[in-house]
Amino acid sequence: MLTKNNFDIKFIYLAYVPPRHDEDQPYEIKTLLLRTNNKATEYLHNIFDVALNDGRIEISFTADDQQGNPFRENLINILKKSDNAQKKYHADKIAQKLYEVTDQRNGTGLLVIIEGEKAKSKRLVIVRFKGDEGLYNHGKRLKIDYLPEVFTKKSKHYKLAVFEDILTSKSFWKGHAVDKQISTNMHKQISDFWVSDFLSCKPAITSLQGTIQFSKIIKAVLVKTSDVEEQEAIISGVTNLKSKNVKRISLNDFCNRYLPQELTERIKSETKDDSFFNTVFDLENDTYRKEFGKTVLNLVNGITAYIPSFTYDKYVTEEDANGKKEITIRGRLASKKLNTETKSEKTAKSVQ
Amino acid sequence: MRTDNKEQVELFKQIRSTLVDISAEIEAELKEALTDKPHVDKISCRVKTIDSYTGKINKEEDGKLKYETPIKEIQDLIGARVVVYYKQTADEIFEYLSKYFSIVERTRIIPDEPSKFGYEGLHLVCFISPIIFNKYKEENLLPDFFELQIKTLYQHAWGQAEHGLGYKPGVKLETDEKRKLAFIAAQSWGADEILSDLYNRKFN
Repeated sequence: MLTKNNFDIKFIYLAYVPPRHDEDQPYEIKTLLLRTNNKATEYLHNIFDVALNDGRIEISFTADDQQGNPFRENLINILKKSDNAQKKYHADKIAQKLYEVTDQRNGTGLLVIIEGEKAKSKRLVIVRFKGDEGLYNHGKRLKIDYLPEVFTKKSKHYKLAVFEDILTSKSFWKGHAVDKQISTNMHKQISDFWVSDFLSCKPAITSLQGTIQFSKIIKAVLVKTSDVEEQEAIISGVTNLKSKNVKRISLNDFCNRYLPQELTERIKSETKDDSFFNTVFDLENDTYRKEFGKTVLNLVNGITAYIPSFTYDKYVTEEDANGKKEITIRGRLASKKLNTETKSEKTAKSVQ
Repeated sequence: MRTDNKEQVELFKQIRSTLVDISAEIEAELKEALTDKPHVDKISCRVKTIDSYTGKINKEEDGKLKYETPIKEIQDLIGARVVVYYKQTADEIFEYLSKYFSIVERTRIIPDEPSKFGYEGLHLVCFISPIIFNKYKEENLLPDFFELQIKTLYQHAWGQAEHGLGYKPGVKLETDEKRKLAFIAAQSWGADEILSDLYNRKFN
C-alpha cells in the first residue's frame, strides 16, 4: 500500500486501550491489523504522510547508562521483523505499556501504529485517538467497520509521535511529537502522559541547554535595543515567567504571551535558525534564577538598589574614585512611591 | 548487506567537513557550559581522521563486521575531551555534563581488577544538541551523537603517550612493555590520588 508521498506502508496496528484496571489478572487488549484499503486506511495514510510536519516537539528516548530503552527496543523490533505476527508481538508490548500508564483521566484510547518505508528510510508513526465506546460495545473484538466513525468524529484531536531514520542498532533515538488533545495553553504543550509516561521520551533539548540558550537570546536582544519600552517589555516578561512558575516553554510561547509583534520578530531573527524559536524545553529554575537574578547594591549612604543582573552592565556604571567605587544607575523613572510604613507596622498588618 | 569499504569511506569524506563545523560548535558549547567551572585545563573537540575511520569500519565481532552502517553506528565520529586538574573536578563535571547534555551512555572506565593499572576515564555518549544539529539537518547521514571524555591531567597524559606509541586495544605487547605501561598508569593513578588528597585538605 503506497501513501500519496510514496511511503510503502508495511504494517498498521490498532489497539483499543482502556484505563488500567487495578485487578491483578492481566487484561487482554483488543487489537486488529489493517490489511486492506478502505476509508480508515486512507485517513491513516494521510496522518502518516504529514506526521513530520505535525510533530513540532522534538523528543528523544530516555536511556539507562548503557543505551537501553525498552520502548525503543520494541519500536526497533517492529521495524526489523518482516513477519506481521512478529511485528504484532512487539506492537502488543507497546499497547500494554499504554494500558499500564492510562488512568481514568486519560480515558480510553485507540492506539494506532503505522510502519512505512521509502528508499532507505523507515518511519514509524504512533497515534492515540480518544477511544469511542461504540467500538467496544459492538462486540468483544475491534470492529473495522466502525473505525471511520472514530476518525471522522475526533479526527483532529490526537496525540502523535513519529520516528524516522535509517535502521541500525544505534538509530531511532530521536523523534517528534504533538498533542492535539491539549488546549492551547503555553504552560502545557504536550502531556507528560504521552511523552514521558508512555513513549519513555523527553524533550530533545535538555532543560540546561534550553534555559541557557533562551537567556542568551533574550539578553542579546536586550543589549541591542535602546528603546526603553521594549526593554521594559522584555524585563517584565522575564520576571513574569519566573513568577508564574512555568515549567515547559519555547521562545515562541514566551513571545506570544509577553511581547509585541515587533519584538517577537527581533527575537526570531536573533535565534538565527528558526528551529530553536519553536523548540520546547523545560525551564531549569536554578539556571534561570542565575541568568535572570538580581544584583543587590548596598551603598554607604544607606541606599539599597535591586538591579536585574542581566541588565547590570547596561545601566550601572562603576568608577574608581580614590580606591572606592562610585556607582551611577541610569534609567527612566516608571513610578515613585513614598513608603511611610515602618517595619513593625508592616509585620502587624501581615499578622492580621 | 553492507556496501564495500570504499563507498563507506567516500560517504565519510563527504560529510567530514560538516562534522568539523559541528565539532567546532560543540567545543564552543562546552566552553560556554563550563565557563564558571574552576580547575578545567583544556576543552577540545575533534573529528575522526579518515585513516582512523577506515580502521574502525573493518572491526569484527563474532566473526562478522561490527558495523552494518558505520556512519550511523560509530558514535565517536566526533569526540570531545575535557581535561581537569583533580579527580573531584572530573566527578563534578561528569555529573554536570550528564545533566547538561541529553545522554544515552555513561561509563566510568577503570581497569578490570584492583591490582591492575591502565586506561581510566569518564565517558559519556551525548546527543548533539538540537540547537546545533538542526542547522545541518538537511545533510543526510549525520550522526546523532558525539563521545565526551572527562579525564584528569595524569589520565590524559598516560592515554596520549600510550596512543602516541601506537598501542591500541587488542595489540599484542611484550611482557616488559605491558609492565612499563602499567607502571606509568600506576604512577599517574598515584599522582591523582595525592592531588585528590591535597585538594580535600585545601577545599573541604
